[in-house]
Amino acid sequence: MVRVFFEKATKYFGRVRAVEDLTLEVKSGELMVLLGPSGCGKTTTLRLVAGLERLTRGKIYIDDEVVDDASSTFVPPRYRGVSMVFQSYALFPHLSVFDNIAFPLVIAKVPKNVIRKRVYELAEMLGIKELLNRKPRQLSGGQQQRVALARALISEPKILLLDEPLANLDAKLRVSARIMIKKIQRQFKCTTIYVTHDQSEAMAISDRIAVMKDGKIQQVGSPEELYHKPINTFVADFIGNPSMNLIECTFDSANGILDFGAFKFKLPRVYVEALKDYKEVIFGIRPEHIIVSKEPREGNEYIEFRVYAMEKYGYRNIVILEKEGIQITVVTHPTFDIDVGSKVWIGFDPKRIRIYDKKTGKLLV
Amino acid sequence: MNTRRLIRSLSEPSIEVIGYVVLFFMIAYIYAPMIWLFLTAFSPKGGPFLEIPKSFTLENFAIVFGLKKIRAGAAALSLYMHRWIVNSLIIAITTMVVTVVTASMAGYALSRLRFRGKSIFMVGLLVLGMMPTIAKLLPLYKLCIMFGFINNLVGAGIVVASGIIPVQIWIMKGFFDHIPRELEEQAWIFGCSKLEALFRVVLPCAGPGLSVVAFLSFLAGWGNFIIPLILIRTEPLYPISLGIAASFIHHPGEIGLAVPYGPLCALSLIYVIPSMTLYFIARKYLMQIKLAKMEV
Repeated sequence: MVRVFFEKATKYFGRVRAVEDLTLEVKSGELMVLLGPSGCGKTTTLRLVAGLERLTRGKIYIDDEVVDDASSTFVPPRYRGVSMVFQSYALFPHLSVFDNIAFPLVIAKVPKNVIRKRVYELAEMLGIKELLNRKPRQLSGGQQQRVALARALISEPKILLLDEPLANLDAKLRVSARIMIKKIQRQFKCTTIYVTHDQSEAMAISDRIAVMKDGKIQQVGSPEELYHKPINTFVADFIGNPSMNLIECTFDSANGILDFGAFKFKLPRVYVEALKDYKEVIFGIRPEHIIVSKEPREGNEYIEFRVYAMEKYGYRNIVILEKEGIQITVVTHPTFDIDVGSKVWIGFDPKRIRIYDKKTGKLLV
Repeated sequence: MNTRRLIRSLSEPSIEVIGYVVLFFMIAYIYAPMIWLFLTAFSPKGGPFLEIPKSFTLENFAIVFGLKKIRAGAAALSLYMHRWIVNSLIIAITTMVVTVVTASMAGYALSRLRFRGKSIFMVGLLVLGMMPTIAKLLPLYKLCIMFGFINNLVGAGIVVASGIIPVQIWIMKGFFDHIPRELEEQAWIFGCSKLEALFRVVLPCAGPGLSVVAFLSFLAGWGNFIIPLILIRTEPLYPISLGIAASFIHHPGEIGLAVPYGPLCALSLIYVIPSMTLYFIARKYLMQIKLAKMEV
């Protein structure tokens, strides 16, 4: 089994920074997702592993062997034991599906009868056996994607790199395709790096996620960790749909009260100690962790809001509340039905509150 | 409402009629010489004037291929006609091979590699391509003597190729620019060396480009007149272009007396065949010519 290790990997294109000081270990057999908005350097990171780009600084190890140290050592792509699926699939247009899938084995000079057997096995597994005689242009997007995957897996690579493999599929196909990818990855036990900008896809498929922004890693962790303890406001905002409510406020450490202007909220005692040196903070809570009531509740932890907008999804409702310029998104049970403009009372689940530093965006507590 | 409809019904056919009239003149303009040629080639009389032949004969073609002797005056000329066809083929194929090989390699390099002065080089190529061959005559001629290209058909082909390669490089680069780089990268990842990727993936994908360049360069060699005129000195080595011209020049006389119009028209028809055939093969790819990207 094989691990991939980045040591302070840095890549510049001219003066443009693509990846900076990236240190990350992809464990053997793991499915690591690189997640981030477009232009954050995730595809460049993938290309660095494949050997399609050279490092500016730092090192990359594959299985404890340096494959790129930004100076003398550079192992070209073909000796890295890496396989890749491009976002465009990059199927060879002049070759049939069979020849496309067989390509890596043909180059490796595997005997013809072995190639035949392997291609048929894999095609059977991926449900593309009837397509073997077609040309890539005669295939639908989903079929092309499976052919590209088959071609990437045929040589049983140690490392599989997937660059937005689902981006060109329609929403329904995406779900089934990602389940298939996950299953196949488990079966082949290859170390996989998967690039996507879609946080729900990342959450669904990954063992661990590395969230990137502007060429830098923001946070690495399991989907649960990222969801429950986003390390900064960027991750908090990026992960989850609808994303976390992030509201600027001032902290009165003497009384342990957050002042939002429109309302005040008394923090539980456990938070106060950690925040005593901060004044300008950002209050964060996920829409799922807000309790809404149509009836006025007793106690000062309940705050009166007005319904600003409402979206119904059948399995849940998303309600946007407003009070003097402050908007809060809440997820409710689908039976919670209320008119726009009416009053509601909300309370925050105290264990789920996250407080971030306004200046740095870092998680404080 | 009614009047408008009336005007429309009146004006539409009249525009159509004008269109047909214009089209007729254009077709006449383009095809009249072809029809003339065609009729004369199959006519037993073979005169210089357009006339509808009363009977039909292949005699002129037989003369071209040396299967039948011609009357004394033009005998010497007709001896070489079938050789001229071969000579033209030699020049055209040489031009094609040299151009396809060099233009594809250079086009690939210009499409994929970054190097200093690339854009200047590209513009330079374009300027070079636009320069008439005659303008380069003096150095070209001296070089041809040096390389022994006088009375040398392959040499003539190479010289013709040198004139068209610059523009063909641009065309080839255009085709390569439209082959996604990812295809090559994918091939590298799957174990190909750069050269293997070029031959297994890039060139097969560039098939349309290669056939376009092959077609254009074959035509350039096949139809070229000026280079053979300068380099080829003896009649047996003439290509068709030079041969036909020489037939008129060497047999001045009175019109219709010495010039063997029938065989020459037959030869001219034969002259058209390869270009037409290649055109029909390369036709669908000709539409795909795209301008090469200039950015480095």
